[in-house]
Amino acid sequence: MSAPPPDGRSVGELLVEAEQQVRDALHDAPDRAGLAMAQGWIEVVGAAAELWGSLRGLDDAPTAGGGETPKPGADGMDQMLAHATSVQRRIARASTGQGAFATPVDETMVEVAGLHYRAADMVERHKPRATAGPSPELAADIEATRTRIMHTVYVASHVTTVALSDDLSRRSREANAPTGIWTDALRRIGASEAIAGQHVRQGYPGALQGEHRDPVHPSRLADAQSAWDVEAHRALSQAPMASTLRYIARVEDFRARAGMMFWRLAAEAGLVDPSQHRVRLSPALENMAERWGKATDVWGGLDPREPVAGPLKAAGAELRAATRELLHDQAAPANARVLSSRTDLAALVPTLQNSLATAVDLSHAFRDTIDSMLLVKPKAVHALQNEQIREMAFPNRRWATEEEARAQGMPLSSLGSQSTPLPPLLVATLRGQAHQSVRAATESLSAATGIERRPARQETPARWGPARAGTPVGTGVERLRAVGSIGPRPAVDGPAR
Amino acid sequence: MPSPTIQEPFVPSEEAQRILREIAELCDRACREADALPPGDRPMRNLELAFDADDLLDEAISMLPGGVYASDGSVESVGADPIALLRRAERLTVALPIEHFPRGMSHFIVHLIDTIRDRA
Repeated sequence: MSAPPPDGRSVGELLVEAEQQVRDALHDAPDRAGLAMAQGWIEVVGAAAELWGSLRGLDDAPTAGGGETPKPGADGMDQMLAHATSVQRRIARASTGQGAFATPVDETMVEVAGLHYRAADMVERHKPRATAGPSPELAADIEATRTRIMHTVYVASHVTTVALSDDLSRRSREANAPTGIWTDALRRIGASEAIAGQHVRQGYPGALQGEHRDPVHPSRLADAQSAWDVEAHRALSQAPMASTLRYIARVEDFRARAGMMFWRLAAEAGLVDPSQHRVRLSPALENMAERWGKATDVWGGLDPREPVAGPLKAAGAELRAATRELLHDQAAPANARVLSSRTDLAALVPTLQNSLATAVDLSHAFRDTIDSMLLVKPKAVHALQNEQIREMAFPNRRWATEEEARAQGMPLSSLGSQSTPLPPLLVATLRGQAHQSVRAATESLSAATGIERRPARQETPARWGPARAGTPVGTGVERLRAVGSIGPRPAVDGPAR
Repeated sequence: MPSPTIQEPFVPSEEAQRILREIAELCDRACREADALPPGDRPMRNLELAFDADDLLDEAISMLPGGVYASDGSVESVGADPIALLRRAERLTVALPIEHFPRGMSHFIVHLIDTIRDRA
């Protein structure tokens, strides 16, 4: 057998991949062959036990007797290994005696086991011969590794028991059905699921907080913003629906609020003028987020629940994930020091400015999409137009009387239908609301343009960690300015200048 | 060995369809309630909750026959707690054994439980 091809992934990446694969197997657990899964499960437990063993001693503080501190879950791993051995023997007996059968091993489970074996091999190869005791970071990372191993075994056990239960309930009357083996395997693997579950409940996902994180890809946020911008414009220009507007409004609300956090951290790091941030940019961003929040609420109520286009949702999900990766420090928001350890803060500022430039453009497209062709929920329209008419004084610029205004609203006969076209009465109102978002986005961009603090930028690398040369992010505003899409940098009127 | 046969497409029972529709409606309500929440102290959490409830609604609808969620249009925000609505949806998932539901139910349950845990 030839040697496996070189794999550049880290131990952490192999573990995440293994966990993801068993999670994916949950999708079609009942359709998988129970016995193939049981055989694969034996492999998964064997590999997990080997990986578990390879971690032994890595996070032990030196003791007088040189002994090892017992780790939570170690007994459980031994018990599961014993169950796996029993299931293996039972299957081996049945496949060699009378009524022998051959069954393939589930490929997903083999792959999961392979990932754990590969990780164990890497740990063994790079294990230090002697240690003066682990650092707190190393100890936390190893505990997180144990928790992730146990969670993978837990999910693998669950998938296997679902597949075995399905075979038992659907196929037990087939000729030569190995019901005895199914039942025995189900009992033992079910017991292992309970053992792993006990460990998982104690440490998952809390223990993962100590897990080592690889550096964030420097251009991920900028790439996600570009992809979102393209998909949002595409969705607005191609048969938009109320659900399109609802979803875009919510993502823009999210983007504005994430922007508030990013800009605050940039101000804390001394990268932008703090007074201009406090006096102009922060209130403008808050206003923008509120406008989009209101739009989300209004369009959420009007949307008759049509599905949102897949590419738009995928781009929104990636933008959220790229943002979370930078802004979340486990369960809490990241501070400036954490953020600077993940990305080059100085390069982040132009990315944020570019985000605001695209937000202005998108808010225009959003406003211009609102017309009477959009299908909306009749009950919500009825409530909204009644509210509008109640607040109107007659005569006004558009209508002389209430009857005239009502004639531009939704007919009552539409109340029982699933959806109705947005009536002209509400088009003007909703366009007016959307225009507030345009103004708020424009104000935010204006406040963010020229906010960089040039002298502080020179000192930044020393204070907040090494800058990455040639980071391919955030040149949007400069590029747009160069081609004349946005005006010259406005005069800065903050007290600091 | 039994001879291979072409498998009929899985059609969930009437009871499973009823439960799925009820779950979809609860996710729909949770999404609308989360969208209507005032930003308060945790605006990002509310937004993430709305995104998750929205994704869960899509997943629930995709398991219904024809991928259609025949809402009667009566679902609207009334100030209910979106997490409580998702908890009710989670309780409904155990009303029948997993094999009575279409493919994707296991993933849906994991996603639902993760959402309740992360956003509560």
